[in-house]
Amino acid sequence: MPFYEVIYETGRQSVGQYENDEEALAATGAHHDRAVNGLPGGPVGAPAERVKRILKYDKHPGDWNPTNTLSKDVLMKELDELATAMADENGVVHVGQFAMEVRNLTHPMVQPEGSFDSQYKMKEAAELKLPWAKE
Amino acid sequence: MATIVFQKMSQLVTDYVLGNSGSILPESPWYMGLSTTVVGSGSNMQRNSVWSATVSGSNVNEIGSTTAAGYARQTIARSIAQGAVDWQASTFDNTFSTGGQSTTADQVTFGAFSGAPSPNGANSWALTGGSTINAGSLYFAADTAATRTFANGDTEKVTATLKAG
Repeated sequence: MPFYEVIYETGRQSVGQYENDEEALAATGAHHDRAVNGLPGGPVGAPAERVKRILKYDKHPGDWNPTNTLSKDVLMKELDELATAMADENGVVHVGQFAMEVRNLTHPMVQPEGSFDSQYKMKEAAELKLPWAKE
Repeated sequence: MATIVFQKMSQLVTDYVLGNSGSILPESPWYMGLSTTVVGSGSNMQRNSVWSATVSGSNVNEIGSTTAAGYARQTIARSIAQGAVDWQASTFDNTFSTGGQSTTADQVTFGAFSGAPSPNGANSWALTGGSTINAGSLYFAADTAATRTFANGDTEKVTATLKAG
């Protein structure tokens, strides 16, 4: 079953697993309608949120590079660029901070550039057209 | 509200933090799941509990394993106060008996559900690894304030806090 990243108007995101696009749109559309009508979003009673974007993935977007590996060539290139970027005016690199940046090379999440951008490195397979979105 | 820290979390401290292990590593990213199992006080979850679809003993059973209906585990980035859902800057409580360093993750959202997942009825949330339902390591868990039963259009929000004393 495909996974869908749901991006809300608040900038929050969630990942859901649905049988198909129709099921994803029905569920998120029902939640969106609650927001439009000022209704609670769930059993706790928190306000519902309008749905801004839905991105479709073939697998969970958190599973980007699950083996946590890079080819030697790519890794060496990244290490060189990192060392250059992190060196101070004396050419010294803090090894602990460098190690942290190296670990981030295979981390599947990114800082979204915009409020409604994905928080994953994985490229989406498609973006759903939202029936409730204004043209 | 009952809470539990599982064996793997303790092992991260002993092996990774203290011993610089290359095999016992933190998850990257962290995942959060919802469980039908209550944490309890020793008769439900145990320090050595594992995820399982079989509701027996100290197993931890995840919602949505038979019918997802929009359920999936949510990610928490292994970073501090960056743009994605991750951990906030930690704070320190100097209280002798109950103090320690604590951090709270950004709130995660489950759903929207397309109907009732099966199994349904979340009694706890757990920090875990990997996106596969009823699989992966367990790190810590806490009861929800009440059983959460989901239906079409519902979302569920969870905010995880860890205090390391």
